[in-house]
Amino acid sequence: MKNERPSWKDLNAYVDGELSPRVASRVAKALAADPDVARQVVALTQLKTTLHDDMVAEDAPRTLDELGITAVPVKRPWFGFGWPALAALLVGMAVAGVLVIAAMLPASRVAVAPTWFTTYQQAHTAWATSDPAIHPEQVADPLLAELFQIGPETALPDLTAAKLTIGRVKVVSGGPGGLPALHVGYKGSRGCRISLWASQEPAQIVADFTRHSHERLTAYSWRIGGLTYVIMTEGMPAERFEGIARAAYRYILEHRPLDKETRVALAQGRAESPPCAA
Amino acid sequence: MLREHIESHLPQLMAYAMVLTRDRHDAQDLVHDCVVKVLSTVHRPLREDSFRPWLFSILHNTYVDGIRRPCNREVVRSEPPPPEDWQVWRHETSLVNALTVRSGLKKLTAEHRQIIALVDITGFKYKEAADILGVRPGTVMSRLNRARRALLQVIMADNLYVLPSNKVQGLKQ
Repeated sequence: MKNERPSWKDLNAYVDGELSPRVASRVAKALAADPDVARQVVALTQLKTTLHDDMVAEDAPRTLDELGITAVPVKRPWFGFGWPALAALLVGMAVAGVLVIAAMLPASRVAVAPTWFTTYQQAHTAWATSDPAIHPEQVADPLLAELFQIGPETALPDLTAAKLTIGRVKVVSGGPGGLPALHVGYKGSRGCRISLWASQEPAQIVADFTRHSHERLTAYSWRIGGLTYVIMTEGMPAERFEGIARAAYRYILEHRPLDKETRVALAQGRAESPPCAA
Repeated sequence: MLREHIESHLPQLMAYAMVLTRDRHDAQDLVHDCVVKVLSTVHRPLREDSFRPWLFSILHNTYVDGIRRPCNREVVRSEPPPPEDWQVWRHETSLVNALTVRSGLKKLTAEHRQIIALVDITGFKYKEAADILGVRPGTVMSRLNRARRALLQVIMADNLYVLPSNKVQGLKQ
């Protein structure tokens, strides 16, 4: 058994998202089976997150003026790159403009609840109304083991910036299409409950980040690799929930901690929102 | 536009410089010299995915040029390889916090600090870090493995138990 353990090198590359899908899958299986491997990965992940989050000094200079650079020592005029570069720059700006406008547009809506929505809705409501209140640290190793039964691409978004902590991680057997689905339940201190689902549901959920709402529940869905994701809540102000959903989407997509700007936005979203309505 | 572009990377440049120099004033000088070089350069990458690694490679090369001067030379030595114990971490993960990591980082060699700063603090992929350091991606991977192992071992050696929390169950603060 010991011989089948992934090497230290593979564990490091795994937390960095640098392994090929084949090796990543092998490491994921070892994680699910071996609590010692899971412990090493938890330590590496926490080390990486701490380094990323806390090593940038708050009082570091933010502008060139603060750094003592007021004049720009330009040797040639800015168009010295030549017309092709200027044209490329203009095209780039136009594309960036289109992307910014696209990002500002509301995500597409789906009016009728599909089957998967109803399945997740029932499970979310059941959890949100009778939560067994598991402390996250107590489930660290089983948490990882359960998580990686679903797939190596899955990552648990850290939403503590929005004051949401993980209260439940469980693989449920009756997901959409009868397939197992990973349920991550986030709890807020003011009555908010958010469910994040990951499953291998094959066809119903499209790749794009898409908004859905039905009755009092709102959800966003997307697909990354072989997994589909749904994040769902009830009674949370729409703007705050969209910010949280986009943060979770980016966390899973980029496989790296949220940047400071996003964390500040999440904290601000909470501060400016009322408690979740029951 | 270029100023704003550089300014958007200043906090991370400072973080990398701090890890390299372990001194705030030296770090600020290093970033200053780097930015002056960048502003003085005629041909700069226009694409962001090329500009960022290029910017950090300027900082790195400025640092390396600085320590090559006899008066500034830091003893850059490779640590003896840590024991090949597979199980590096045996303690509570709560020991891995900003304070212990910051303290532990200072005790590492320059080579280890560099690679951790590039991959973990500034978030470069292995290939980008390799381009900045002028080495192969495999070398980045090996250095990173050794560096993280060394850092975790320093943290373990510095922490004998979990510090008690301020919160006392059942009592309101």
